[in-house]
Amino acid sequence: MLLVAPATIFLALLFVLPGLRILSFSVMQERPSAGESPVWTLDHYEKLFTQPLYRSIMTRTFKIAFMVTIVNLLVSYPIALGIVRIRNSWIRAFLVFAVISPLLTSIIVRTYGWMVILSDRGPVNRFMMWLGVIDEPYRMLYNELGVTIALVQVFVPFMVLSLVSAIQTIDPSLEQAAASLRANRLQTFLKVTLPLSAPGIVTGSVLVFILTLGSFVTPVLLGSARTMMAAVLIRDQILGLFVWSFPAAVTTVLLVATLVLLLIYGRIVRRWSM
Amino acid sequence: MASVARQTSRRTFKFPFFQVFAGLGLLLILVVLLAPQIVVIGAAFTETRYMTFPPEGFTLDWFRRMFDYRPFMPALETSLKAALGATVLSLVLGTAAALGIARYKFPGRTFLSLFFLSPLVLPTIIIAFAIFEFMQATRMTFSLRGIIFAHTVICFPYVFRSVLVSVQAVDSSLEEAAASLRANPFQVFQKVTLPAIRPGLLAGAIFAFIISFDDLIVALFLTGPRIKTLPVIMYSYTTDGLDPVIAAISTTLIVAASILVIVLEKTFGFSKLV
Repeated sequence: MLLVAPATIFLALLFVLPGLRILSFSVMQERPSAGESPVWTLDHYEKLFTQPLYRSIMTRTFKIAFMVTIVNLLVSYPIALGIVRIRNSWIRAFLVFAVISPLLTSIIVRTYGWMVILSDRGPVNRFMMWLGVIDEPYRMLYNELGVTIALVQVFVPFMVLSLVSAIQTIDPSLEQAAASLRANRLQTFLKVTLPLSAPGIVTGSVLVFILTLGSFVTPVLLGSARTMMAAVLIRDQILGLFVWSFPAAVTTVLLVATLVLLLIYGRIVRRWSM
Repeated sequence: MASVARQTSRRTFKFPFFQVFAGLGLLLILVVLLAPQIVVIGAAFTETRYMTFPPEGFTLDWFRRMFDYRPFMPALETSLKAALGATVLSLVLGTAAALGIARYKFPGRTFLSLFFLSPLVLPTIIIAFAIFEFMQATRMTFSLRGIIFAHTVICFPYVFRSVLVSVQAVDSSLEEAAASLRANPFQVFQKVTLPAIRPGLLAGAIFAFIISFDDLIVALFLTGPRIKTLPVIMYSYTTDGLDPVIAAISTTLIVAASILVIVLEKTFGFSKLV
């Protein structure tokens, strides 16, 4: 008990107690100064859910999180399958390197990379103009497309690592058995590999969805006012306008969404383990 | 593999559409994964005044200007100190907590370990806001001490997780044997437990260092005109346009991280870390 005490006290002081205070600010008019008694109100939630500007920021945040999760899964699955199943050790090592290297590169650095790649004068636009597919640069920066592409790349390692640990536990002899029963590659994949890797798919998706919900760096650098997401809104309100209660309401919504997601996740995992 | 190849060649030769298709797809995905890092490195050597890829011309001028950029060295120093402080504090808190959870049975153990991992699964913006509230109440904003404490909240779960995994792998009967030979608890830890959990400690420390060094969201709330971390100055640099100096800083970070990984791989073997 003595061993867990320091960490518990540390987290409680720095994170849980102030976190609870923030939740309470969301139903107050404003953060009360010392000795002031709070004025209770639900105005901030009403503002968040009814004013079109704020409502669109919240729907956009969840929409982008959903899109990023789906695309990320489609990109990550082949890589994870390759890491587990490819026997050539050089190709495998290269795959692992490709997945680990983004983790070791600052998220800001990677976002700068995307700014160059997706810019009007960037390699993608120049290549497509050279091919003659488009006549003038196609705008990919400062809109949802650019933010989504970059967020997928930023979070691919997290999805791949979850998938790899699930696919590793699948006994290859099950796939061989399916093949011996004359299932073709696609059938084997759909009926054996995919269902057995479901725990990894769920874990990775929940993780990436939550990470995207709270993402800040990518939307703020690659986005614009029209693509604002919840975390950027929270930062702007606190550090730009010096208000606490409205961003506290946004924070509460994000927290509730995250907890609901984790609760559903816990349910699914428990059902599987029984 | 060889026997399979022989079997196929005995049949009529069929062009391996599936393999070629899958291979090309995988290659494309890998290019996308590595693209931002490659582009940033390339853009650091361009002669143009803006970041571009492929680079036009070749110059090392941007690396020289990096050191001329006044906030760079102090920010690098702050970031290194903060990352070092947060790593040490996380190691102490995380190892104690992991030992407590793994070695003693008490009610609420599962809940407590979920609680310790919670900063990992909650959106970082929520944690940043909570810590900001704590720092406001204790007037610790704009200090190195504040940044170290704040980063410990987000780094500690990584140490806890990796040490917990390695503690659980240690046979506790070894510790009991040492204790029966009249070793005091400290000696047991030093002579038996510590050597066995060293890989876990190392992996946790690396993660903690990277997370702290890379953090922008939490640092944005805690840094002011007098104290800034590297990600914060890199972030505020964007307002001056996409100058290749930022690519030079990024390239330096990528090279430093790669050297660190290679050294660790040579010293300890990377397979033991992941």
